[in-house]
Amino acid sequence: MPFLASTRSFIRNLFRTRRLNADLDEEIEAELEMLAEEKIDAGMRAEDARRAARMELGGMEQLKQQVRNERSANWLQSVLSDCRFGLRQISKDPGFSAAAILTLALAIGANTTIFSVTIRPMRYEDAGRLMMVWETRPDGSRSMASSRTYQDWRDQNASFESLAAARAESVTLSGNPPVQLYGAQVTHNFFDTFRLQAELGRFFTADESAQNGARVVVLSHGLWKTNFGADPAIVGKTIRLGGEPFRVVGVAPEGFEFMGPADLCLPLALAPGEIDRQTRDLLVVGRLKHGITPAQAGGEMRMLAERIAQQSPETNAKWSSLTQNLYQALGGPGVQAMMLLLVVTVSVVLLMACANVANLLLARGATRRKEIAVRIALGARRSRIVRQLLLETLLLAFVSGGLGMLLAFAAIRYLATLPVLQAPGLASIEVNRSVLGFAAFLCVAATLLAGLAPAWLTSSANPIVQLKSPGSGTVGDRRHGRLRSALVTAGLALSLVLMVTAGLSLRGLIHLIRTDPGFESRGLLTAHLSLPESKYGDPALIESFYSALLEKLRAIPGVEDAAISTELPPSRFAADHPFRIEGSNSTAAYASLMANFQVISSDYFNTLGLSLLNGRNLSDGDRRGAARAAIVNRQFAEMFFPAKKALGSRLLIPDHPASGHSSKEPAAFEIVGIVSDLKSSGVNEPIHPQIYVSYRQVPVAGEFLVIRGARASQLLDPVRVALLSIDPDLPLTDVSTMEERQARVFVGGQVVVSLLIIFALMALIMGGTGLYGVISYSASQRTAEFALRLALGAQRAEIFRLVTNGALRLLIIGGGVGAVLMLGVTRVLRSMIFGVNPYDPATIIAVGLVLLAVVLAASYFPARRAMRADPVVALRYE
Amino acid sequence: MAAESTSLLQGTLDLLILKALGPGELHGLAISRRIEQITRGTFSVKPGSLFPALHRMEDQGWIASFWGESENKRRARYYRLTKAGTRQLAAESKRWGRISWAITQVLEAS
Repeated sequence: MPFLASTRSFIRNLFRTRRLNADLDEEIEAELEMLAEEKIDAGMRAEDARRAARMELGGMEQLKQQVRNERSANWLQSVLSDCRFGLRQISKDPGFSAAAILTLALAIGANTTIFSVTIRPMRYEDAGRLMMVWETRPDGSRSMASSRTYQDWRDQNASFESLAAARAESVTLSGNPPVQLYGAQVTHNFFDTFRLQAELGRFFTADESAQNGARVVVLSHGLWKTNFGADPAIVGKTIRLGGEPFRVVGVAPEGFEFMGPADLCLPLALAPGEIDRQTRDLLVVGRLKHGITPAQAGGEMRMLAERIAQQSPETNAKWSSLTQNLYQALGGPGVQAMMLLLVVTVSVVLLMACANVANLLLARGATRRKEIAVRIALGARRSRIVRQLLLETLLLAFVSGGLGMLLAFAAIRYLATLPVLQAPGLASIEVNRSVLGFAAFLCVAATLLAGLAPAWLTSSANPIVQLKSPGSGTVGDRRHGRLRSALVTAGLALSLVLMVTAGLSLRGLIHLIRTDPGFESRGLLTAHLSLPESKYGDPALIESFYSALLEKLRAIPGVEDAAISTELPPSRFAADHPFRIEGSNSTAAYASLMANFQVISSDYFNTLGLSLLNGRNLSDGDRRGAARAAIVNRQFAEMFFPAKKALGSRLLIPDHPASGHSSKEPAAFEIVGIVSDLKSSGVNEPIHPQIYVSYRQVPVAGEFLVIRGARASQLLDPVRVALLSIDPDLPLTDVSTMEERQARVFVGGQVVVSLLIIFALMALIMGGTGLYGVISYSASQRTAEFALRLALGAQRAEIFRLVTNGALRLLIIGGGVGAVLMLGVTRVLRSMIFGVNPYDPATIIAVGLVLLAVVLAASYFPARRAMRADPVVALRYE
Repeated sequence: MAAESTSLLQGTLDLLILKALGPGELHGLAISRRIEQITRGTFSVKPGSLFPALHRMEDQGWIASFWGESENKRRARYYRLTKAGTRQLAAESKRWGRISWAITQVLEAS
């Protein structure tokens, strides 16, 4: 086989070079002898014959080199020797190398870190075909789906292999202490849709989800490990949830999460009597059939939704559906925009690092022109020199890449601990093969970006000009100078853009944090309670439990106020409860009127510090059997009763789904009061319309406790004692102060803004050092000129100004370019940063001053050196 | 000794070397003498072309080399055709036949 033969010779040539060269020496020697003998036989004298033979061979060494060049491993050997040469060059100029390596290491480390955070695969097999299907409200916002709509979709669609649904669920695991668990009720095809295999046992059967309330459970890997000691025989055992026995049928594989951490899964039963169109609490996820595009599936689902809207206008008029890739659905548009901003920013940092290294390479190229001129004079081809120079840059890049990976390792390890960056369904943040591959790719990309132009320019040395000139390679080249100034100017422009972006994001975040949430968040302790249905099946029991608890809480010394509420600010839920205004004749009213529906105790407004604007508060008199009363917020009154007669109007509201009994007939609530607004969905969201009703009239099992006291965090223990005295089996979950709860909203923003600031600082440092390099180089080039000026009577201050003016000129051009870039960038930023003028003068002035300071600092030292030049010394040298 | 030298067409050197080694093993100098002989002095292969070509063809597996003894009892590097080389010779000969036929056609046509 020729291929085998050539591989064999390649390997032989590579590793047995010495032996081969000895053989070659001997072969050529023998040929020379034989040639000479031939000539002697032909009658030449021995001496003449030898000389003639030598002439005919045409130079022994040259001949041997020609043979060696033909060998198949030749190129690799010459690359290896180039590498050795390159390493010597790197160690010969440690200042240059350290600057270049540090710059690139920072940039590669930062880019690799951001890559590991933003480019994470989904955990699921063939995740690109997993879609989430939502209902959409008349205003276009997405909503979870109702059970009947899900069933229609499931039975009528032709786009999905399988369409599954899940409903969030929380249950109490009985024990001492009892544990609150979060999980989901899922349809039996749910795991199949994700293509998951049970780690132990099995998932649900169609039977189990068909019959109402099959008592079976699938545990998550995490719960199985932490609460059941990874018991290998768990399948078939019985655990108690909410007081009821459930049989464990399987354990889900590690890392399985869907829309949040899940401890367990229960079967979702869609019994005929329980399905409707108005309780929209199902997440629907499907796997596309092969050959169906997401757009086709989306079109079909919209068509099905429109058909449903026509059939059931009272609940679905103007509703439609939205089909989204699972990845997009989980991330949400805000997160994706932030990630994109980070990726763009960090790429700019890389570009700037490359520009800086290119600058360093150009400067060093200037000092190496003599060496290169010699090599060209000796017959080296230009391509060979470019290869040599690029290889040196590649070595630099890989050393930087190694160092950058160390930085990235540390950064990634830290970021992996931040809960805010953990997204359900996404692989964890870690250094894996694709991250390493990306780092290697960056090294090569940086080599080409930073090295190609300098290598090309440096290798163009004209041997005659270079070798004739005196001094050590100080023959300037206008093209070099221009390229270097352009690179520095671009760097200044980009660092301006990054700094303004970071500054605006910081201002936006501060604005968010300082925005008045509409209530007093200091001094509040919050926690969640959930009453198990087995024990509190009767609404009267729920009511009396919470009444007793509130009484005990208020009796605790230090407690000023205590209340309960089904939701607390900041909550992520949008207005999602349908209602109708009595007397309005629209049949489609349920479909289009939506508000947030909250079940509270009458002290809720006092405790939070909301003020009653009109009418009366809820009271103990608003009990079961009495006329139903509701309080709405100002936003609600203005939105639905523009003519100001909200008070006294009656709202028709289907029963709150959490109350456990859904009657077909909506209940009528009279609006008895109007309270001030609070920003329930996080402070950068619009204010939602709110309906508040009393727990005495709509008892629900799950409530948050809100307790106001001077030292809120120290109230936890007495609160636990109070709870224990009423029911020892109830776990208190989600315990935190209101301030902590509020702060969680900003954590993501804080991480992003911190990263943006770090990158902007990197860019600033790179811009500054790049400028310093160019200014000090050009100042050293002009030493003789400065000396002459001084000798002719120029003031030293004028020399100083000459140098700094050069730097300022670059700053002005860079600033101008940056300002133009900024105009484009702010268009994008406007949608991401809230409450801040994108042309915020304070930010722009601050950034301008910082940049000016950096430019002056970068030119100060070269300028001082130039100013102190001794004319006598400088001119004599020349 | 002054052979009229014709510059070698690219690729023909390989063919000539393969052909020269056809009858049996030879050392470098003998190969160039054999080529001169069979082309009746039309081609004279210079060592500067011959030796690089020999080493390249060895790398490609067409010929193999070994140390042998020359006519004058001198240690010399000998080359012989391998099986792959024999196949290559056949292929090259056929290709050359086609080219020379085509070129002859062109010349006669004009």
